[in-house]
Amino acid sequence: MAHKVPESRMIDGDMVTPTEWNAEVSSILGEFNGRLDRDNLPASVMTNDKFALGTFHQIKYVSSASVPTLAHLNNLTTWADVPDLSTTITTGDSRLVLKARASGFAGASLGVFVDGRLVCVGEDNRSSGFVVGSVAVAAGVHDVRVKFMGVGAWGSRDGARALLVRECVR
Amino acid sequence: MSKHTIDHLSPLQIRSATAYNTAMAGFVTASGTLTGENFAEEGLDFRSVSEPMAVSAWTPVVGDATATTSANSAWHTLLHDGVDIETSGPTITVAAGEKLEVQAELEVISNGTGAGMTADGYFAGIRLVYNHSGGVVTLTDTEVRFYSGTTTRPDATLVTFAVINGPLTINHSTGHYIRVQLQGPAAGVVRYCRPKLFGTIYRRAS
Repeated sequence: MAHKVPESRMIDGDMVTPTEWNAEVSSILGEFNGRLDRDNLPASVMTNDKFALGTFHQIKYVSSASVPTLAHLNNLTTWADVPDLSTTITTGDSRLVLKARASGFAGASLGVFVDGRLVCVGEDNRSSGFVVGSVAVAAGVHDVRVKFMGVGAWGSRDGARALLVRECVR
Repeated sequence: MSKHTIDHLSPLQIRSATAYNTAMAGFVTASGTLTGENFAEEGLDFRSVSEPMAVSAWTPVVGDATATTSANSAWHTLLHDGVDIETSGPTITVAAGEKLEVQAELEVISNGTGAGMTADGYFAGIRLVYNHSGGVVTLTDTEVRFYSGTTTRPDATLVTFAVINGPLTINHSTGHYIRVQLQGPAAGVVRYCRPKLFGTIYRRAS
């Protein structure tokens, strides 16, 4: 609740004692000592520059336009890293939103892994793939990487790919 | 970090400048340096924030589109009712410490006339091009393509996205834009349907 100041006021001739002083500041003390809340901060008073970088979003973005070097890597039955498409991110207890795309292969599945665990997968992509997912993580350093698997190979005509990791602080 | 604590004065301390100053020191220290512990549990919400921390950058562009392709692997600007598929409207301002995410989607639908077929089969691609306060930038790392690998032409959806660091300004009144470009088959007018272009600004991101 917002602080409330007593309405009593001194008038000429009054003797000011600690009792009056304490009464005046008592409610303010109560607010400052751990009870400030939304009523103390009116609507729209906090502008963007009052928040530190990364207060609400931490974003890691990795992209590449180069042609991968895994040409002719056909018929994979296990997950293999997509070249240049991994990152690490240090988070608090939070949720990661993952988004990845890759181009330049044929007939493969794309998956996004966080700390070795498959979080989201897009299957039967033709030439390019796009996957999104989300996962809750504990505080710490997390390894995020995009992998592919299946009948197909990296082509030679293009290889654009990108990974976006967004930490939503909770 | 401990909270700032402010004490009461005892009745006999009012005549002590030291005791008075000590009591007041809590206020002095608290001025401009409040900590999380000065706030009540779950006492805050976003009404106090002047702007949302993630905002839509512009109205999504959605609608049927066509492109007249003239050469294999050439890039063309998508047209929707004769107008380029690109951002429009108010100036988009992305401040330092903010990030702009742009995403484009295109559902490719074959026209069924056989135009544009090549020996490699059917293909299409999209990418993003920016003209902003930093000049024209073609993001080659957003090029995503679709190849059928055969002479059949199944429908497909292409999606690409990019993240750009602020500061930047896209002032449409001076010709700035974010545009979707399309790469089509060898030649002919081919129909590409339902393009989408949208973006999000993340405030105070890192």
